[in-house]
Amino acid sequence: MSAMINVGMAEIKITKAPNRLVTTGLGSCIGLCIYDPVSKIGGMAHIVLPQVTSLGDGDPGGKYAVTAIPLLVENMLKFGANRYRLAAKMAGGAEMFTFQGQNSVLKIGQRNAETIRGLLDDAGIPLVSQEVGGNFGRTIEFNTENGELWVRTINYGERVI
Amino acid sequence: MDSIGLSSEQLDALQELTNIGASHAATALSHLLQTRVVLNVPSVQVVPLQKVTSVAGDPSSLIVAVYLKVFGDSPGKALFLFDYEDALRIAERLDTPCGEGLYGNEMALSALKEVGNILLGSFLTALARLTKLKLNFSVPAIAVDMAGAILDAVMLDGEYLDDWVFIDTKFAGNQVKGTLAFLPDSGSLKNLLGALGL
Repeated sequence: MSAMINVGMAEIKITKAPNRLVTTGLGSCIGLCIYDPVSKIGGMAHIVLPQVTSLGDGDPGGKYAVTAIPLLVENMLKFGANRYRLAAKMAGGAEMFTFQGQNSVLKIGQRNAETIRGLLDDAGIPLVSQEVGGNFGRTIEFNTENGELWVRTINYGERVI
Repeated sequence: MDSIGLSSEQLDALQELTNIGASHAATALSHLLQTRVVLNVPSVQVVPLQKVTSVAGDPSSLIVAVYLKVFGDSPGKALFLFDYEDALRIAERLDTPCGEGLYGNEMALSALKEVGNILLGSFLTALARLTKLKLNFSVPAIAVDMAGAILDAVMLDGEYLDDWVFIDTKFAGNQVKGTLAFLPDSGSLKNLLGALGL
């Protein structure tokens, strides 16, 4: 029996086959999935911001890319995943609103995606597929049975990556 | 209301202020749509970041949001949220037919953006007048998408707070409804209450 596990904003969840990890309505946030295809252990972090912006707050672990990725990996290893088999997929990082003359520094979705790419690279975890950017929201579902990440949008179709 | 430390007196004042502001917006909507509009009592709640995407209901529901950034003495974010079907009805009533829906329908989107702009503008202008605070706001932006995605993006635009104060008032008229929301930045609420002598 496969369970659907919801990953709320700033949360990290780890599970194994046949369960699925789900995040509804990603805007600028990014759903980062890391997967071990042999043990079929999968984890998802609902990343909100690239860097730590405040200390001592209520961060359930997945809020900032810089701290979420090491924690997600560490928890997956504790769960029994193998460090050298890990691969990543991600979706989200949209810019939902555009104001005239907006500076690119403010494009938080894009900054989230770039930071995550850099951190995965540093950690030696291959990013095998991604569905990021644009100006639309995404609902994602990660299937730990086969490592497929299902991305659903309202007006831009559905994709499995 | 402990987590933002508001006394019941302050809470009452905030609700009353919002109610007056929202009444101005309701009058504007009533004129635009030539219909009677009723308001709910405003609600003031503290929402942790993790719950932000579901503050306006199901995060996967399709909504239309008009968004203004507020600057000045009481900075924050102002939103007008419509259910998709309500937005279609409003656009139709403003003589912008939506046979094909709202996506890519620049006429209808522009009309709705203007509706949101007028409502939020009336609300903020009333707020500024009542408190004698200086409030400016950006041009409006509009999005048609999942409620969760819209709220997530709004929260990440500008200051990053762990807890948001979400002040909202629901509108209902002849087959149309919507929600007006104001989310003060940190420190903003203090100025707002200070201006009321609280």
